[in-house]
Amino acid sequence: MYRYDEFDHAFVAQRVAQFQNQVDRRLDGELTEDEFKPLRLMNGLYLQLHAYMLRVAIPYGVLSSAQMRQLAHIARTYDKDYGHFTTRQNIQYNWPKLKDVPAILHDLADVEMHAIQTSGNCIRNVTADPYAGVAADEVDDPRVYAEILRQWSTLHPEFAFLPRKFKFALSGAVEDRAAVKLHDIGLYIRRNEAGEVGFEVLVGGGQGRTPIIAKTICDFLPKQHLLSYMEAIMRVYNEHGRRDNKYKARIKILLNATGVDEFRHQVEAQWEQIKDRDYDLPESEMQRIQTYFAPPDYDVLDATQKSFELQKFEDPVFGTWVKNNVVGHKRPGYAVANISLKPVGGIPGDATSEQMDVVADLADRYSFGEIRVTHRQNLVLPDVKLTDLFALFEELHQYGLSTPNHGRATDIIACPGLDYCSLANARAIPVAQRLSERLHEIRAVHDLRDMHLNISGCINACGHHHVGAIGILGVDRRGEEFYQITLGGSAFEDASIGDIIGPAFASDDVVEAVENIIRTYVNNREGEERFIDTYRRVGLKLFKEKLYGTD
Amino acid sequence: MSLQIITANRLVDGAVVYYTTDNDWSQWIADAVISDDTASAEPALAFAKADAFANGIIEPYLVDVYREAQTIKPVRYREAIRARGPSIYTSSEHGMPVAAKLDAKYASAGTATPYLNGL
Repeated sequence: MYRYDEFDHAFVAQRVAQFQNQVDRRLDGELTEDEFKPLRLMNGLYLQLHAYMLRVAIPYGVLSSAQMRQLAHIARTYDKDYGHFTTRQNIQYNWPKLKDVPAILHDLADVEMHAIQTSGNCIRNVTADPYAGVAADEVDDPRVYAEILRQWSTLHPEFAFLPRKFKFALSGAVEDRAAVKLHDIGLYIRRNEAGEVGFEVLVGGGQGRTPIIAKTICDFLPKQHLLSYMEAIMRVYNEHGRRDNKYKARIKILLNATGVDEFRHQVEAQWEQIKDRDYDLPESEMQRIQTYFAPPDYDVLDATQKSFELQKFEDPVFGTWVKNNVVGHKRPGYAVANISLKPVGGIPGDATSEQMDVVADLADRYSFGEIRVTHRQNLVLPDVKLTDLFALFEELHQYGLSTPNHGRATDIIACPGLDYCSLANARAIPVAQRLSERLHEIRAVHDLRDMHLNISGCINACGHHHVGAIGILGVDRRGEEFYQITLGGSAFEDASIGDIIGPAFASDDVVEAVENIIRTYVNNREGEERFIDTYRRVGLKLFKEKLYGTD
Repeated sequence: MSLQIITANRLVDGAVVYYTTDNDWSQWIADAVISDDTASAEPALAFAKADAFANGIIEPYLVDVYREAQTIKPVRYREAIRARGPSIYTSSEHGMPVAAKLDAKYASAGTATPYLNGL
């Protein structure tokens, strides 16, 4: 994985020292909150309902075991012994004290991490396919380009005060595991007919109060032009994006108002001025970054391992976990192991310090010391030998990390909601917990695959409710928590925005409503059909009738 | 017109605090000074705002409350959650996964788990 060079180290250390000084001055009363607030936000420190919240960037969701151990140390030393992995592949601490935050940032810097650009109207943490570099269906490794984009966008002076925040996502695989089409800029790595690597460039996707699927503005951008083309898009947005209304300030609004063809024309006009000059990385620099992501020292193994096949057969609990949570790897004899952070009735995305330490140790022993964070709030060990899976499973099981529900109905995304977040209108976590318990009771975990339940506590949609097969949005209706249900969303390559099924449900009724929808699906699916396919085939009306009656 | 109290977050740790009868700040809503309405709360809010800077308090504002029995309760559930803390156990407090407990519940009741296909 990428390692900081001297410039990275010096710059992050400098920022820690600056923030220490700013915190000292704030605590001494030299700085008012109005003066301090933009400074703390530039270092990822928010003030939430009950406490500060520190959002730490995990670039494209890749963590070393040493970094994971440090995240555990921070949770244990400065917080309440747990952390929360987010839909942006980041981690959030919910209870840091202001005086401790410079020390936390110092500890993060020790393992080449920081909280810069995790807030504000700048380019945020670049996200990517959590199976990058190991996926069997990969054209090229997105981490290389994500790292290039990270370096380019970090403290880019021209893009420090954009009209609004800006999010990138990349995927180099056939299957989209990075919700690419729901980002301000989404990049699919493609190969053209000549076999050259480049990007399909999508712009203007996003969720929030105006959910829109990104549109392709360039079918194939040769990889050497990545930065000049991104720079051109950012310049058009920076100049023309609306600054008068924060609800209309994202690039998706600009793209819709401008039209795809005109927007592309403006980008290309900008691009003409800067392409083939010094905006793009030379091939040598690209190769230098590529060396950081060289494959680990894999053993040459058979694709089939008898002991593993026997273990699956002899231990059906292990067999189920493998069936649900383990996916294919590009190398024979290896597998990608998904670690669910969605125990039944648990808090989606939370991990205790102990669990983080355990995952770090397991990564060292079984996965070349590397861990990935997914945008569905789970963890991944990307490089596990088939013959190590059983030992891995047994240890995960001891620490509540072996829930076999990857991509299943209980693999619920939930934002922190009104239990923590000052923007929320309703709670999300307790609804996720009740749904998870009920779905476990009816054994939906084994039956319902690709059933994505996503819950947000407000229209900002951090819980990705618009793109859940079943989406749940918490609203405040006359002083009570209500939940609006949408059906048919998808965050994958067939991305779609869910349709609102009807009037919202009271908190007490929402679990029953979801169960009703699931029952309708089960009674109407054809064979192994996924929820989304049944929904697209039979339409909203049937689900609506079953849920609200025909009157 | 609801009764009013003054709340803020504490500078050092962001904790929810309430302005009290003895011109101090308390983490307990029961200690809050109660005004009859917004107009009569304004002078106290102005005082609290002036006091906030000296006392390390962030952005004081008014909260609608009502009396129930001997307690003060916020009108809006957002403020009720602020007053109480998260309505969930934190994951470090949570203990073992719930699945085992649920399975035990059905086992002890002697009933079959209600499988999906049997709905």
